[in-house]
Amino acid sequence: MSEEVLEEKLGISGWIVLVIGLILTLFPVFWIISTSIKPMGQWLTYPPVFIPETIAVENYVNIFTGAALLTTFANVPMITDSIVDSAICSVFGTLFSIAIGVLAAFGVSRHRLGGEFFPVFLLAARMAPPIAAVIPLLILYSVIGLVDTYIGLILAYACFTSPYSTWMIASFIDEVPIELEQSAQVDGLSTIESHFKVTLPLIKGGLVATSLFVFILNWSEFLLALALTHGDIITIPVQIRSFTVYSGILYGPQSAFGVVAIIPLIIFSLIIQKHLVRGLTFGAVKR
Amino acid sequence: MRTTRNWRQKLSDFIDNPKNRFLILLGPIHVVLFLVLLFPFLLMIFLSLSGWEPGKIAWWLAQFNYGTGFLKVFGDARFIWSLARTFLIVAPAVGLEFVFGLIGALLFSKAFRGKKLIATLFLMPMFFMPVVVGYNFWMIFQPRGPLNYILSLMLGGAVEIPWLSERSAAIAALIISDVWQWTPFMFLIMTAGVLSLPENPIMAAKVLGASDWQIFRYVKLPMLKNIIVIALIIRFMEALKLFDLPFIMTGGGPGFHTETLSIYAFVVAIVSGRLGYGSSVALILLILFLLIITPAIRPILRRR
Amino acid sequence: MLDKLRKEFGRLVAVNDLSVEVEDKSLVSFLGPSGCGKTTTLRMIAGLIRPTSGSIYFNDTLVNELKPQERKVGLVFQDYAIFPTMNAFGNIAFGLKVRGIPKNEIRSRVMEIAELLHIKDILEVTPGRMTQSELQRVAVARTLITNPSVLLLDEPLSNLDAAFRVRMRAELKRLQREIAQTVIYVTHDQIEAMSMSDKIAVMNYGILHQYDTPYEIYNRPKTRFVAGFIGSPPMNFIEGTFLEDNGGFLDIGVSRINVSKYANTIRKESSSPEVTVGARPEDIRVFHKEESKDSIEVNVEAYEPMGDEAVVDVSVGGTLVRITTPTTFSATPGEKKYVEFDTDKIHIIDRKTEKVIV
Repeated sequence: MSEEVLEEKLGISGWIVLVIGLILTLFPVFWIISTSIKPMGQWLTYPPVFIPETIAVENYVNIFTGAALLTTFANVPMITDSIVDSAICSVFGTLFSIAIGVLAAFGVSRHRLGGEFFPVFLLAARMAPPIAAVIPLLILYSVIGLVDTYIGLILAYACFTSPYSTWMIASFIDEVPIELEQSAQVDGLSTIESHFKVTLPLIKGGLVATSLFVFILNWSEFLLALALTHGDIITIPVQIRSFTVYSGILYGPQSAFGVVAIIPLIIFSLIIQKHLVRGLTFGAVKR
Repeated sequence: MRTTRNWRQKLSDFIDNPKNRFLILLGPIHVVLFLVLLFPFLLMIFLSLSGWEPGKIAWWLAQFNYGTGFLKVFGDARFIWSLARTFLIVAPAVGLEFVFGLIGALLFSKAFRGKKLIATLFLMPMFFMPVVVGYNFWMIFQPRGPLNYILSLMLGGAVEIPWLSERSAAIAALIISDVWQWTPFMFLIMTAGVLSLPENPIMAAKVLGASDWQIFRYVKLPMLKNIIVIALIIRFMEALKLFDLPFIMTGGGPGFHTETLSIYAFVVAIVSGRLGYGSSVALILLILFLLIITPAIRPILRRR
Repeated sequence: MLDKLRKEFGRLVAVNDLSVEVEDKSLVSFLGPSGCGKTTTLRMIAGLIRPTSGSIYFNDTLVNELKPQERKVGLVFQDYAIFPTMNAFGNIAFGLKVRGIPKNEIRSRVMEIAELLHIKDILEVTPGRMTQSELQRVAVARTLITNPSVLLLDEPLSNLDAAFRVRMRAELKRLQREIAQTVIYVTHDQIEAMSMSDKIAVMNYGILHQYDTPYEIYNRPKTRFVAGFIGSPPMNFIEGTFLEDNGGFLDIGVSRINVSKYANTIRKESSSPEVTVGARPEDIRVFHKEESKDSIEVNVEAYEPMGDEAVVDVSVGGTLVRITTPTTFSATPGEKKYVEFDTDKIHIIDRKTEKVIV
C-alpha cells in the first residue's frame, strides 16, 4: 500500500559517474561506426579522424558486392556467403539445440531424471573449455568426413549450446505448476502429451527467449567455426578476419561488416532483455 | 474380441512407460554430452597414452608410449606460462567487472530520468560478437590510434603506448577489452540482485538512523552475498575459456606472451597440427577445469 | 501531533486531513479496517512517505523536512523486517552501531534491553531460526534501544497466534508503562486497541472518525462507523423514522420506541427524520412474554449458547438483531419472544450524515 515515495535521487556525483561510464561504454561503439563510414584515405590517419566529413557509404555497399578496390589490388570480400552460412548454421543449430533442450528439460524438471548428478554434469559441460572438446571433435570429424560441412557445424553448435537451452527451458518449466499437467492426465492425457499440450504452450515466451539466446551464442561463435571449417563453409566471425590484404587491412569495410553482423544480435538482445539474467546464471538469478 | 493397437497407440504406450521415459527425454542430450564431454575425454586419454598423431599414421599402428606424451605437458613451460597468464588476465578483469557492475547497480537503485534508455546503452557491449569487439579494440589500441591520441590530449604529451606489441601493455589491453565487454553482465546480475532486496529491512535501517553508506555496508551487501558469489563464479569460469579476444587482438603475441590456455591448446593442436599432443594439453585443461568447477558449482545449485 | 495531514496517491486520497494530538508517554492506537490509511499515516510520521500536505510536529518541532534517519522515531514493521544476515544481538545493536557508540556500551545496553524483553538467551540466534514471538521481541528491542521519542508499531501482533497475542498485549502495555514510552499503535483489531490504548483514533477511508478514550469510543461513538466497528458482537442497526406525536417516537416498522427524552436533541441535530437506531447486544433485553408496553414482539432466528452468555438472533421487523443474554434465558428458533430496548443506552444516528446524535 505505501510506497517509499522518499526515493533517493541520483546526486551530482552519481550523475558524474554515470556520464563517465556512458562515455567509456559508448566510445568503442562510436569508433566502429565511425570507422565504417570513413573513406579509405582516413582509415589510418594520425591524429585519427573521429567524424569523417563525408560518409563513405561505399564501405557498406562494397561488402555486399565484393567490388574491386583498385588502389589495393584486391577485392573487398563479399559477405553474402558468410551471412548465408552463419544464418544456416545458427538457425538450424538453434533448432536442434532447442529440440534437444526441451526434451531434456522436461526430463530434468518434471521427472528429476538423472537425479542429483545430472544437473552437475550439464553444468560441467557448459563450463568446460570448448577447445578441449573441439580437438577430439575435429579428429572424429576428419575420420567420418564431417569437417567443413553444414551438418558438422550445425551438430557442433547444437551440442555446445544444449546445456544452455536445457537449463533455461527447465527453469521456465519449473514455473508452470505441475498440477496443470496432472489435471490433464486425470482427463486422459498421457504424461508426455500433458507435457507437450499443456505446459509447452504456456512457456512459449520462454522458448522464444531461449531460442534467441542460443541463436546469439551460435551467431557469435568463433572457435568452433574456426576449427571445424576450412573454407567451404565460412561463418561471419571467421570471415571477418579476411579483410587483410596485401597492402594492409581494409578497416572501413571490415568495420562496416562488423556493424552489419551485430545488428541482429542487438535486435534479439533487446527483445529478450528480461530473460538474459536467467540464461546467464543458469536460472540461479531470476529477474 | 482382441483389440489391436495401432502404431500410434503402441508409440504412446512406449513413451508412457516410465522406464522408457528416460530413454526418450534424456536420450538426445546424453548423445550430445557424450559427444561433447565423454568422447573427447576418452579419446584424449587414448591419445595421451598412445602418442598417436592423427593424420600421420593410422591409429592402430600407433605405439603405446604409456602417457609420456601426456606427461610432457607438465614440463611444457609454454603451457605453464599460458596457465599463469590466463589467471593474470582473468582475475583482474573479473574483479574490475564486479566492481563496475556493483557501482552501476547501486547507481541504478536510485531514481532518475532516462533510466531505461541509459540501462540499455550500458548493456550494449555484451551484445557484440567477441570477434567484432576484438577487431574494434585492435583498431583502438593501435600505437597511432584513437586511444593514444586521446591520452595525448589529456596528458599533454605525446603518448604512444605500444598496447598490442609490448608484453604487459598487451595484457592490460586484453583486460580492458574484456572488462568493456563483460561488465554489463555483472551489472545485469547485480541489478537483479539489488532489485530483489526486500524493502522493509532497508527502511527499518533508515529509521534506525543509518546513513546510506551504512545501510549499504551492513544491510544490503550481506544480503547480496549469495548473488555476488554466483556471479563471480560464473563469470570467472567463463573468462577462463578466453579465446576470441586475444586471438584476434594479439594472436597470442607478442611472441606468445598473451597466450591463454585455450589459445595455446589451439595453437598446438590445429596450427601446428600436432593433434595428439594437443589432445594431451586439452585433456589436462579439461581435468583442470573440472577440478575447479566442482566446488564452484555448489553455490549455484543450492540456489536452484 | 499531526496537523491536517494529507496524503494522496494520484486520485486516491489515502489520508484525508488528519489532525491528531498525541500526548507524551501515552499509547495511542490508530484503529480501522485494512486500507483505511493508518499504515500510511504511520509511515509519514516515520518519514518514509512524504505527505501531500499538512504538518507533523514532535513536541512543537516541525519535522516534515527531516529524513527518517534524523527523526529519532522507532518503527516496528508488521513483518518485523529483521536483518536476515545478523543474529539477534547484531539486529538490536544496529541502531547504536550506526551512531558510533563504543562497543562495550553497546553490549551493556543490548543486555539491558534483552533482559527487559526476555530475549537474553536468543541473542546468538539467527533470524532464520527464531519463532514469530522472538522475532517480534527482537524487532521491538531493536527500536527501543535507541530511545526514540515516539515508538511506532504497525500491527505488531497480527502475525502471532492467538494465545501469544493475548500475552503480548499485556506485555506491551506493561512495557510501555514501565519505560514511559510514547507509542503509536496501528491495528485493525479493536480488542487490541480497546484493551491497550489510552486513546484511540478510529479511521476509515482516510478519514478520522473519532479520537477519544476507549470508554468514550465505546459508549459515545460519534459516527455510525465507529459505533458499528467497536464492540463484539457488533452493534445492531435498525432503520427508523422519528415521529413527533406523543412527545417523540421512533417508528421502526413493527413497533415504536419511546424517545421522548431525546426528542429535542433529535429535532435540533438531525437533518431529517430518517434515522437509524443503534443498540448494542448487551443493551437489549429479551423476555418470554410482554413485560411492558414497550415490548416488541420478535421472531427468534437462532440461539447460540456461548458458555457464560447466549447469543440470540431475532428478527425485528425485517432486520436481524443480535442480543446477548445470560444463559438462564433459552429459546429455540421459530419461537416468538419479546425485546425491549434500553433507551438510556441506545444511539440514534442521522441516516444521512451518519453522525450519532445521542
